[in-house]
Amino acid sequence: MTSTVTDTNNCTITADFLRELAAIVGAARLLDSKDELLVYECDGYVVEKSVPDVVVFPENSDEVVAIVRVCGKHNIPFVPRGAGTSLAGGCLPVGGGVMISLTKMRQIVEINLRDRYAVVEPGVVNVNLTRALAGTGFHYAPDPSSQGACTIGGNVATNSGGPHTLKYGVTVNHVIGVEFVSPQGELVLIGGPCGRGNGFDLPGLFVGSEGTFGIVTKVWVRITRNPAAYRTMLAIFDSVDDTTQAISNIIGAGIVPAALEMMDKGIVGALEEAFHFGFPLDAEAVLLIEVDGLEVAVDAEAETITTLCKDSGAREVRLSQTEEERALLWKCRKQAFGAIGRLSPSYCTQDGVVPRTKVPEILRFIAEVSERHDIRVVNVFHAGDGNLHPILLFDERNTEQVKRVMLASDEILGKCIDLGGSVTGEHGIGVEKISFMNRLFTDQDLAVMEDVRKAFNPDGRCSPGKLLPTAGACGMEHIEKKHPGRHAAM
Amino acid sequence: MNDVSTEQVLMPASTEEVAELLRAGTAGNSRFCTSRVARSGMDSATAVQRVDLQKMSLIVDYPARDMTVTVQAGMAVSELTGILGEEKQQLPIDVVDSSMSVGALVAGDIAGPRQYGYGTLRDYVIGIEAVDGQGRVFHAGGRVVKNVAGYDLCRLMVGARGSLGILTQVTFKLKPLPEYSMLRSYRCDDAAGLEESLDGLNVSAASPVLLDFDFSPDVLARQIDKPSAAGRRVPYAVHIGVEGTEAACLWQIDELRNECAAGEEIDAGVSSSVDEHCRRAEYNWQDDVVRVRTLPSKLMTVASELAAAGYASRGHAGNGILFVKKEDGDGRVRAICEEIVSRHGGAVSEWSVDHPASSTVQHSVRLRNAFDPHSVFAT
Ligand SMILES: Cc1cc2nc3c(=O)[nH]c(=O)nc-3n(C[C@H](O)[C@H](O)[C@H](O)COP(=O)(O)OP(=O)(O)OC[C@H]3O[C@@H](n4cnc5c(N)ncnc54)[C@H](O)[C@@H]3O)c2cc1C
Ligand SMILES: Cc1cc2nc3c(=O)[nH]c(=O)nc-3n(C[C@H](O)[C@H](O)[C@H](O)COP(=O)(O)OP(=O)(O)OC[C@H]3O[C@@H](n4cnc5c(N)ncnc54)[C@H](O)[C@@H]3O)c2cc1C
Repeated sequence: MTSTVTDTNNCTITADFLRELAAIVGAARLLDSKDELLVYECDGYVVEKSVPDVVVFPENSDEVVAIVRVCGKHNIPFVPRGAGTSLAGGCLPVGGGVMISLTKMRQIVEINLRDRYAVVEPGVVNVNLTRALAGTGFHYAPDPSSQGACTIGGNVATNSGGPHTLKYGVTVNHVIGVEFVSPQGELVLIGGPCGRGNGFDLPGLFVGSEGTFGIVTKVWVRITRNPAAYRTMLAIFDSVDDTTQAISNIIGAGIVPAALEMMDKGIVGALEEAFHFGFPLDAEAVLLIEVDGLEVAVDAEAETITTLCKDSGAREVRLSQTEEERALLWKCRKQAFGAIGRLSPSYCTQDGVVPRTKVPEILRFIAEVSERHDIRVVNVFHAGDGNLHPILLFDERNTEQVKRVMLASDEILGKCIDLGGSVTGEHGIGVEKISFMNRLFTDQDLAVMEDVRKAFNPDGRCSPGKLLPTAGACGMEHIEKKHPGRHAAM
Repeated sequence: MNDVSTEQVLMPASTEEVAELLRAGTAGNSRFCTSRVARSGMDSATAVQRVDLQKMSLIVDYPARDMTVTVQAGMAVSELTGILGEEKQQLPIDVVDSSMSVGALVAGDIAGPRQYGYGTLRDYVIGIEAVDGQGRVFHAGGRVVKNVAGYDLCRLMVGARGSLGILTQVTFKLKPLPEYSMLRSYRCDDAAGLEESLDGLNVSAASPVLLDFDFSPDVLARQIDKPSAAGRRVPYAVHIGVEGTEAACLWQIDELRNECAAGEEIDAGVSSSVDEHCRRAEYNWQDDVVRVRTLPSKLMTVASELAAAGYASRGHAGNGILFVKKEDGDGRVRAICEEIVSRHGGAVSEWSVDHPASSTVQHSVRLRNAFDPHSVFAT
């Protein structure tokens, strides 16, 4: 696909500046050769590209402080990066500058089961915390599908969700403290294991700030008791309408499953090819539903859900019989994105949200848009939350098709707003969806948010060009020029 | 505390009217407060006008099947509870005085015993509309349960106690009302027994919604407000509440009884249900108590040291929250709590003293300046 290279780099990197950085991290943890830097030109959002001038890999918060101070002294912008799985261009070094990669800060500092929290460095990969908790009866609840790669620092910055956030909440519901390096180079602690004290809920505000408030160097997260029992079901439907009706009926009945995920025929086909799970290839859609809790309660809940699905037209509801079967089902769901490569050379994932009872309506709309623009769309998403992930398939060499993908994406997200929803449930605004901010919020809303950004990041040096249309600083203007309509969500 | 109710009370009927009066206030050098009771430090040269949102008390949108509700901030919590109850739904936040407004509930970050199982308002507010100190109407979040567009000002407004803006509308995520609930209280012989029970409960297969405790050794008998129904003092007790289906509640109570083997089941007397327990003033943060927040693992140490200093405590064991009565108001209780917390970790708070607006944390100060540069909010 044709991507945009933000070639206009406003930063002047001097030999002095590089020397000062190298003095902090050493030559081995600093990249500044063109070839090495190319890897960092984009994250999971590949439409816009901008190569950082230098990438550094600090190993502790003192080094982060020193790096940020040197950037301040030379007036160079900087951007934090975790695993780079952002789907919104959150890691794009708009206008160049320094990329601070946190992947070498990956210690689990403390696990406290009695008080139900853990302290981790930002580069800890999400699943590694849950792995470290294996056998303790506890786990870390937020489970993005990318959990095998993404970092907890990145999760904090984007307020990540995942399949099980339907019942357990998103990242903000599990973060009780954050240590970060402010854009002025001070080490700041907000919250902690005993909560936020007598002040404002600063950790709550910080989560989801997409790297624009500072560099997270430590996180206090809640850990959650493992449920005593699960029941995992696969409900199989012959029509998308029946499937979405079942979702609506389950939530409408006041049942909150642990997870309620939908996958349509296109995805199921690709998954079957990849994993040979035994998915029915003739079904129009399936729901992956999990209930958890007390052994005495889960059977009744599973039964109610089975009845609701069948009443809504499900052809069959299969209950996972073994732990292995359940694990494979979840593996399929979490690797669905990986399987898409089998369907198309390029794809673009959207992240719209609608009120949950509007899922039938939005899916009909997506089908209609797909047909009208002649762009194949497959769906795999967090149905219980109304958080859609329509995946638009295309060939990046076909520029005319790329245009239609942009138009289709735009219409889908616009419809999400019209239905009372949002353009992002978990991936963030980043650079990708900035142009939607004016549609979601009033000028005054944005002015207030801009003031909040300034309270943390007064010079705009920390991750410029993200989240707010006003987040000026070097770079953004050029992207806007290259994408006169809006920068695509791909 | 001074009663400001005698002063001029402004009753705007719309968000725009709230914005207008704040803009006028900025120009005219007036100050406003949303609290029904003034704090002692509040009096200043400028007259304080009380803003009451009782004319803004409508449901804006209640798509029950989406399990969300949008309500104007002036609605009384009791009214909201009634409306949600008709759809068998709830906002699982415990309040003692349900005449308080939804705005006060959110701004005060009110939380009671069931915060152990359900979390607090930060887990339920998904959208807000408010007016800041410059009269700017602003929104954050939305009406969907999952949304990461823009900064999360919802979290910021929860617990800000009117110092950053006047909330005019709030959207909540809701929970189903449980079919059934049960409360049980157990007596422990001594502090060690209580601690043992609490440790066991932390890894219980049951999932209680509340886990409260009483800690008042016999030597502190004078501090006990009410004897138990049997006329017998219960110095060490743990109160456990469960919710769900009847079968699930019965199973859990059985399980919990085994886990509290150190404790003998008692008749808690005053409160026999989860509902009643959660509305009891003693198990909620009140004006005449100091709140200590510590780690659950330090709770018994803190409670024992308080007892040694002559103070009984009770509170939410699962959350590491203790309440200590201020008998004499001479500041001694607070000083003792602070000293204990300085050794074991945690924070001490008094509702009327520790206003978030008084925080000297630099980012809090900057946020205050951004939202209320002219200090029109009297807090
Ligand atoms: C296949 C796939 C599946 C996905 N599934 C989900 C899903 O189910 N749910 C979901 O929510 N997301 C999902 N995502 C999106 C992505 O994984 C999340 O946004 C994740 O939180 C990003 O983590 P990361 O470590 O890769 O961060 P990055 O991509 O490196 O960075 C993301 C943002 O966080 C900032 N950041 C990173 N580290 C820090 C730090 N230490 N301090 C301050 N800011 C920082 C960056 O500047 C950037 O703005 C998926 C992505 C992929 C590719
Ligand atoms: C120490 C203490 C603890 C308390 N704990 C509980 C409790 O656990 N459970 C319970 O049910 N009640 C609790 N209350 C509330 C109590 O029952 C009375 O409601 C209260 O005393 C009335 O006065 P107020 O100052 O709290 O004002 P309220 O009118 O109740 O307001 C509370 C706070 O919210 C702010 N506020 C009100 N409306 C808005 C709005 N629209 N926008 C922005 N801010 C607004 C006010 O400025 C004030 O700071 C507590 C009160 C105190 C003093």
